[in-house]
Amino acid sequence: MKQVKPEAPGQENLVELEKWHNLGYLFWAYMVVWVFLAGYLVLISRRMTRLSREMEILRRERRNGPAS
Amino acid sequence: MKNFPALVLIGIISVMMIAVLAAVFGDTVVFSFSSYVPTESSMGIVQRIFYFHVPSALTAFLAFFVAFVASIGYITTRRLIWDNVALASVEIGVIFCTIVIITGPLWARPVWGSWWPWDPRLTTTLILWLLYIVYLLLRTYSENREQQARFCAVLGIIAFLDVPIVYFSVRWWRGVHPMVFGSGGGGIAPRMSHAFLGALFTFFLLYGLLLVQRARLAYMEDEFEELLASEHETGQA
Repeated sequence: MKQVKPEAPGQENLVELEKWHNLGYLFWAYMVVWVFLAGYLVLISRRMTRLSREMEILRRERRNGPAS
Repeated sequence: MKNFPALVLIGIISVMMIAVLAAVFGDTVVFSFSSYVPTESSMGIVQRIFYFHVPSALTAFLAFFVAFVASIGYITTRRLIWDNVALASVEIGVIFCTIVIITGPLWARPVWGSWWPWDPRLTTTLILWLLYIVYLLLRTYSENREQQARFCAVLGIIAFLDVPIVYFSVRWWRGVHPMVFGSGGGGIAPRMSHAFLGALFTFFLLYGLLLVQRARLAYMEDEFEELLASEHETGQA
C-alpha cells in the first residue's frame, strides 16, 4: 500500500478530491465498530447489575424468610 | 473499589483508541490536524477501514483460539470454569467476526465494485461465523448444564479448524482478497504499520477486558442457578 504523491503541481486539488471520495463507506464502517463494541459492553454491564440485584434479593430472602 | 482494575483498563483502552483515531482520522472533518497515516494511492480514504477491519479479524482469531484451548481444558478436567471462559471468548469472537463481515463489504463495494464477490476468504469467514453462531445456539437447546458444556466443548474444538483455513485461503486459492502480510504479501508503509499495530494492541486489550467481564457474568449466572436450585429444595422440604 503506497501513499498519495501528486505527480504535477496542478494535480494537488484533483488528488485531494479523490482522496475524500467514498468517505461515507468509511463513516459507516467506523460506526459499525463502535456500535457493536459499545453495545456489547453496555449489555454485559446491565446483565451483571441485574443479576447481582436478583442474587442479593435471593440471599436476603434466605436470611430473613420471604417478604410476603 | 472492586472494579478498579477494570476501570483503569477502560481508561487505558480509551486513551489508546483516541490516539489511534487521531492517527487515522486526523485530517477528516472530525479533526482538523494532519493525520499520521498517509492516504493509500489507489483506494483513497476508504482504505482506512483496514485499521479496524484487520485488527477485528485478528482479535476474532485470538478469541476463537482461547475458546479452543478452554474447550480442551473442559474436556480434560470437566471444570465449569473452562466452559465459562470458552463461552465468553466465543461470544466476543462472534462480535468481532460480525464487525469483520460488515466492514469487509463496506470496503469491497467501492474498491471491487461488489458487496460480496464470494471470494474464498469471504466464504470461509462466513462459514466460521456461522459455526460459532451454532455454538451459541447450542447452549439454548440443552437444559442439562454438564451436557451443554460437553457438546459446546466438542464444537469449540471442531469449529476452530476453520481458522487456519480462513487465514491460508488467500494462499491456497486464487481470489480477489489481497494478501498484505507474510511472504508474498504487498506489505504496508511504516506509518500505516504503526497505526495498524496501535489499533491491534488496543483491540487485544479490549478483548481481554471483555473476556474477564463476560466470564465473570457466566460465573455469576451459574451461581444464581445454584442459589435458585437450593431455594427450590428448601421450599420443597
